[in-house]
Amino acid sequence: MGRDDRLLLKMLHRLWKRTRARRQRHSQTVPGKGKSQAPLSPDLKANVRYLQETFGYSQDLVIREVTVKERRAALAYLESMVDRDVIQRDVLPSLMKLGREGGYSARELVTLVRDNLSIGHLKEQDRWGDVVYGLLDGQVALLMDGSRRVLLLGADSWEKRAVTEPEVETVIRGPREGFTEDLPTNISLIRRRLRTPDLRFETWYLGRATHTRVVISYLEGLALQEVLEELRSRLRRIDTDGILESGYIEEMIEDCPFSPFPQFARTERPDRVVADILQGRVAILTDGSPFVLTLPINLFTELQAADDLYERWVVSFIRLYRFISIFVALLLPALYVAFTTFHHEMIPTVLAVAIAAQRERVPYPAFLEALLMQIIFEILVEAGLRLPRPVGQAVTIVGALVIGEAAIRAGLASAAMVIVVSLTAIASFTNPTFGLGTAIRMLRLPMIFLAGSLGIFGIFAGVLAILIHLVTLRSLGLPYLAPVAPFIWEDQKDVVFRAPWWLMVTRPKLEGGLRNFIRTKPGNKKFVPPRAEPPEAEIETMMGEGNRPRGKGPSRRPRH
Amino acid sequence: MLKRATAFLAAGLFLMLTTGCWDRREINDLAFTSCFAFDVEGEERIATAEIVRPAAVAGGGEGGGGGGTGAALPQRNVILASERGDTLFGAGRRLALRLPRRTYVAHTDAVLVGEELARRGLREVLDHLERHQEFRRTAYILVTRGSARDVLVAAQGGLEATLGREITGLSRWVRTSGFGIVPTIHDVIVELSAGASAALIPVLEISAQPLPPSPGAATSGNAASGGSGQQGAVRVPDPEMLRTVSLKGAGLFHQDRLVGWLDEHQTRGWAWARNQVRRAILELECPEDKKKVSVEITDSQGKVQIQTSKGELQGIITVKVEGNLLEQQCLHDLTAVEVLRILESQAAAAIAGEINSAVAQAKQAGADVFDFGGALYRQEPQLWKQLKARWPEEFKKLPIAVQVEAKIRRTGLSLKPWQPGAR
Repeated sequence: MGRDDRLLLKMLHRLWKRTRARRQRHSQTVPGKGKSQAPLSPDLKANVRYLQETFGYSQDLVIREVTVKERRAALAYLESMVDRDVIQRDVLPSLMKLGREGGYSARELVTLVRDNLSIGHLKEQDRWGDVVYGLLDGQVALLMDGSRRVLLLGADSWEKRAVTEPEVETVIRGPREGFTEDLPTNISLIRRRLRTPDLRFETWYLGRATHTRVVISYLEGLALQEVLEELRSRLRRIDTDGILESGYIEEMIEDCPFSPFPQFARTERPDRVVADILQGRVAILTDGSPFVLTLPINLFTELQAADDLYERWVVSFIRLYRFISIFVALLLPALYVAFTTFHHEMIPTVLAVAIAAQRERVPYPAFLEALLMQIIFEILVEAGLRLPRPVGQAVTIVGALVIGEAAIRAGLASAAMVIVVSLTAIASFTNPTFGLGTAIRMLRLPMIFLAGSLGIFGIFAGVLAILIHLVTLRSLGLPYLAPVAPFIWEDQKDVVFRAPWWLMVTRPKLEGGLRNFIRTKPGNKKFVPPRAEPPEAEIETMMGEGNRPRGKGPSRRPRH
Repeated sequence: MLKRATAFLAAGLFLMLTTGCWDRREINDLAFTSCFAFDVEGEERIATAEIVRPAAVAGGGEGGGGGGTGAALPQRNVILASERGDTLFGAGRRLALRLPRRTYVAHTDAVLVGEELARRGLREVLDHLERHQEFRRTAYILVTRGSARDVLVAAQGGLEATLGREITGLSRWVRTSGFGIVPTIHDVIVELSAGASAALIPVLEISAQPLPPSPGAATSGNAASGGSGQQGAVRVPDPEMLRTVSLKGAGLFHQDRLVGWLDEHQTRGWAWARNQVRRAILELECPEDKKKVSVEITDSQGKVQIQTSKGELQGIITVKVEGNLLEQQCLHDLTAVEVLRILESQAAAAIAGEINSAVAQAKQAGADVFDFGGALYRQEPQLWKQLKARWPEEFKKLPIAVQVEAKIRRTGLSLKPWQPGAR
């Protein structure tokens, strides 16, 4: 160990000390560090003052004083977070109807008020932390003089977007509902599809400043306990000032933060989330984001579109094209570069001559050509995503010209290269989930570099490196190439194709496998002799109770 | 320590960036050769290359012919270059001096070997082709009567853009027409490495045929294409000749030297015996008059065997063919079984004739192209060991029996011959 090394270490140590100090200093200034456990004072005035000071006399903090049974009381709420109608229509009249005559102790009064408020969601608290965060969640605090207890009334209401069709994940067949930014709405979208008491929603508050509500959702008895525990411990470790979107959470809890591959599925579609939950996965809903994370996943779930669930199983072999297109999107430009610069003998003679003829006008090597066209294309994609819609049209047209005829005419690229680039582009957008597509897009450039410097050998090295990475990658502890890399024969039913639902008796092994719930009843092809029963009974069986076991009690449920 | 790690990392990175490109060649910096001709003159080797002009070939095949050392050829969009050297490789290298692009021979379709070089021995050609890291063993090899360069230069190609592709097409077609095969370099190397070391390589020849008169040249009336000798047709005083190539028999090689020739029918005789015939047409005579009948052979099984009895060797060639009646000139009902039997025996005789004539030619040249040596080796390895050294002489005096069995199965869609006013 030389002198220089020691110096370097010393410098690193000083840097680390400084950042740690800054972090500590910063953590003290972040608002709301830990909930205040201080109790309320029995004095209403002191409490009101405390509230006003806490919120810094904020414009939207409303404190409405009332008298209830000869006692001073105050309603405190953030105007911007509550439904004014609820306060004016339900809360205030209820309080006023209680009358003026007094003689109650503070404790009795709280009980009385509680019993007479026409409000569904009501909680009693006596710690400042709970009160402050209750207000921030859009609840109304009812403080009463002489009592340390506060009633928190749920009257939250804010502007929200209606449930619309998801824009990113479109389907041909399937529900057109998408999640919105509003958490209760999202929960209701899931709950409506999973009407079982075993469905759990577990609320977390993450982010010191944003105090974002994060809900994890799963089926009790189906989701793996280990997965849940691991998830909880990872969520517990999150200590940040803000969570704006599920992406924040994803990044902070994923197994390998340096991997380009998405380790959790994100979706806008309630039906997909429900399908995942039914498979034993856990969903993470974040307030303020229409994107829901599901985990653990594997590479092959990333390649499944929502349609795959609904389209008939026979045609689910279409997934094969998605598998192929991954390879095309990743390797086609690299292969083109490798073939045209190193392995000319791999190209059929006629094609080789044709490519040579096209390339005669292009001044620079195929490697640069590929790089250039690839970068132009990526810029176009970015522009297309970011630009406002009216301008977007112009960009597409110009883009089509640039990567089309014009580039060839100008001698900027060969026709073969244009074909390669456009094929690659099309292939990279066949991924039903955007995350994987982005990963592939990102890896394409290094592959071109490898192909340009080492040829096929480089491509193989690159593919090998990616494969090695993929087999070591985990999604919340479960292997990323799951039913293929640890090969599980039983789970092949949903990889290349989806087995018919009447054969999907077991769930993926690693994600819970056979557990409490019944999946399908095997053998639905029971022979029903024609007219063995009177016609009405038969119709009944077909329409209503085909799935109920027969011969056990009166199988006919009275209609109407 | 930290410094060292960084240094290693940086070194690795730079090593990655600096390697690899040493054999980087842009595809448009290559001169694709399509066909090679090798000749010998005195002690000098001559290599002639047909190089594709990509722009012309890919761009629809229009435009003027090639320059280089070759004549202006309107048909092929290639450049011909020829050079001399002490070795084939030397000639090839010198050839590169006059080309702006690096010659790339991996896409070479065919190699022509001149008669003189073939007589002196194929060894150096095969060695050159096999040692060259770019050459493929799948390229076809052919010999020419006379100089190979002349054929390469004179040939104008027909339907295909280059002579190499023309030969590829011919080889594909000759396989299904029965007149032998065009072997690849690999085939020849394998054949010549075997104990009998004899091979048969087809001959490529220029066959000139008149060009149809171009529309601008003949102004009087309608130009009848093809029938230039008939009445009413426009007589083209000196029809421009199109020099296409054709396969014409084969050269017999023994110990890599050219030792004799076979004509087309003898070549087919060889092909019957070596089971190389997929399809063939036989022209037979009607049993009653001198008119002709065509029989198409649809299935042929050839086998070469050797028998030993009392120390005497006996070669046996068995051929079983099946065919259909395809065409008849005479008006006899050929569906009768007896007539078919006659035709069958005729077919067998014709095939046996071809084989016998090929055998005679091969015996004369002392080249065991039928691979009786291989048959002997398989049946009597010990005996083969003894005879191997003097096998050419043994082969010359080997009695060979030819047994042909022909069957005519079908007569096509019509049973009786068609004639006007039959109904």
